Amino acid sequence: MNIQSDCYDPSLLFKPQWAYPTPAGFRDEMYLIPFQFQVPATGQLVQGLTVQMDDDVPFFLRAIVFPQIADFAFGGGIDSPGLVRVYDSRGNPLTDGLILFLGAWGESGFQGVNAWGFPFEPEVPCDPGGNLRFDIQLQSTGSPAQFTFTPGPGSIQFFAQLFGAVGNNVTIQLINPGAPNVPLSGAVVIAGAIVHVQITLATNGASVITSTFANVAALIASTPALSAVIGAIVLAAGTASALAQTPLAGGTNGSTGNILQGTLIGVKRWRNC
Amino acid sequence: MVERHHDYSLTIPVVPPGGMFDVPLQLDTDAPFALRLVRSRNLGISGFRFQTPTKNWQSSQLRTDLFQILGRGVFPSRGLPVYPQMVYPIGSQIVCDIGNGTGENLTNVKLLFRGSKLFQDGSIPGPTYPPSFAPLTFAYQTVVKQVPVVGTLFDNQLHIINDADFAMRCAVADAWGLLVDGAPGSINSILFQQFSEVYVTLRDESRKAYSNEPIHINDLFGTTTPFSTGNGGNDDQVLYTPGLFTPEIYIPRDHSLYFDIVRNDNPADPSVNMPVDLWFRFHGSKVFKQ
Repeated sequence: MNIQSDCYDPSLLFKPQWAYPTPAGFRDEMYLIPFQFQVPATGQLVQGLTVQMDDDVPFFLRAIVFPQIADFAFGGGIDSPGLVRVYDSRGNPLTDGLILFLGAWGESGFQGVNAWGFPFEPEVPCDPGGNLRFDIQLQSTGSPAQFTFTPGPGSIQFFAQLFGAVGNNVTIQLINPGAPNVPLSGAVVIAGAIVHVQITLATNGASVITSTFANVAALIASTPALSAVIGAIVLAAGTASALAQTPLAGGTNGSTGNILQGTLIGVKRWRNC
Repeated sequence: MVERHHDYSLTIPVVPPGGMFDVPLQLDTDAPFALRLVRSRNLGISGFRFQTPTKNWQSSQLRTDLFQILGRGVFPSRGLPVYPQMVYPIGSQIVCDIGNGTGENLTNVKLLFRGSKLFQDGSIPGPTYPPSFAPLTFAYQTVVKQVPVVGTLFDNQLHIINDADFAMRCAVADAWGLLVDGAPGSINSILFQQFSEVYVTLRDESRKAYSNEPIHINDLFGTTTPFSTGNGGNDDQVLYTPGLFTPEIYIPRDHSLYFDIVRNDNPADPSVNMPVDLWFRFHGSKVFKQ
């Protein structure tokens, strides 16, 4: 392809980014537009975040650097991306609804790679004074309420199914029925703001508990009324034992002051006079 | 000529110590194949070599697609570019030698041969750009929920909106789940959404496949997860680099691309033994007819 040509054929394949010819009578100058948004990392959708172009000449967007979006506090800094919807300066959507902006278009620089950003192909013309509009929904950076029960051999972790601080209202209790041949069962009792999960453990003919932690986790997973409130992961196999009513703890909501920073990379197109 | 992206994969369930020689990969009988990249998986430094269309070996000895960083180890690459391309005739074979210097069996060894099938004009549908059009950069997304630990999900669909054609040039796929304060969502959706053995077959609307067998999701989509395994692993540290489709896959408006997902993770491995939601993003251009 003749890069000096004024004719641009977007159907040409294998076209490098620099192969956009500048029309006759114009000159392109590289231009960067840093921007930042304050977006709560609570899982809420924030709409209408705009980056305004200068009002002098058209800007042609060719790449975006959108570094690490937000750190997920729980679990030691696992990155926590979000969803994005982008519109060009004429209101055309550049995405099919909200898409995960991990990978192309987001999280450049994560783990020290791809810090150069991601291309827009083909380039996006932006009118002078126009706005690029972003709708962003960030993952909550909070943590779930949970409790780990380790009575001896074996360990089980309970966690609230409602994410964040609201999960601190959940309590768990494992009941030794103290009677023979009782089947494993569960119930949810609501008392004010407290949602109490009661698991009655199974026993044999000698009133000895026979339920394992795996049985308890399976019961919770297979009972919609229970799994809507609480989840369980067996950390180490073992026989279950009684547990007094215990609140799940540590549930927190995400950060409300999360700052997203990015840079638009492209060219300004000036008319030669 | 109609170029069509195609991946040929040679899977060898077990490579015994000492390796295997003259292993044929049978090519399809519908079109010649232009080879442009070769990549190995589960082979490590044992190496491989393959024959050219003229039945000459492409290398004098076994070779790898790895690269070494002094003092840090050996890392996988995104594959060996083959340039200039090698065009294999219709129905021919790519004959391979696969080494094994480990002294133990190597299992599920794969060699990926990536390139294009070269069809004559008119032999297959070849939708392409209208004479006059306006392009607009665009990204589609298809979310496939609850991919089981072991199982196959057929006919997942990328449907193109009826306002414009779509030229798909790259794609990314990751396991993910949205956590919202006060809404249902558990740590499972973040901490435990991991997978390893996930393979994908892309198909056009007539279900004609873009590969001879399912291709590992990292080789097809350049995914973020599984996380790079680094030194000695299968997946390189090129995170957040989408998988490229060359040539692009052109999908007319109101038409669809389909893909089958095959997952075969180990149910006994706690790091990958949960269902995952896979988010596929397809990047390219809308093509508006003018």
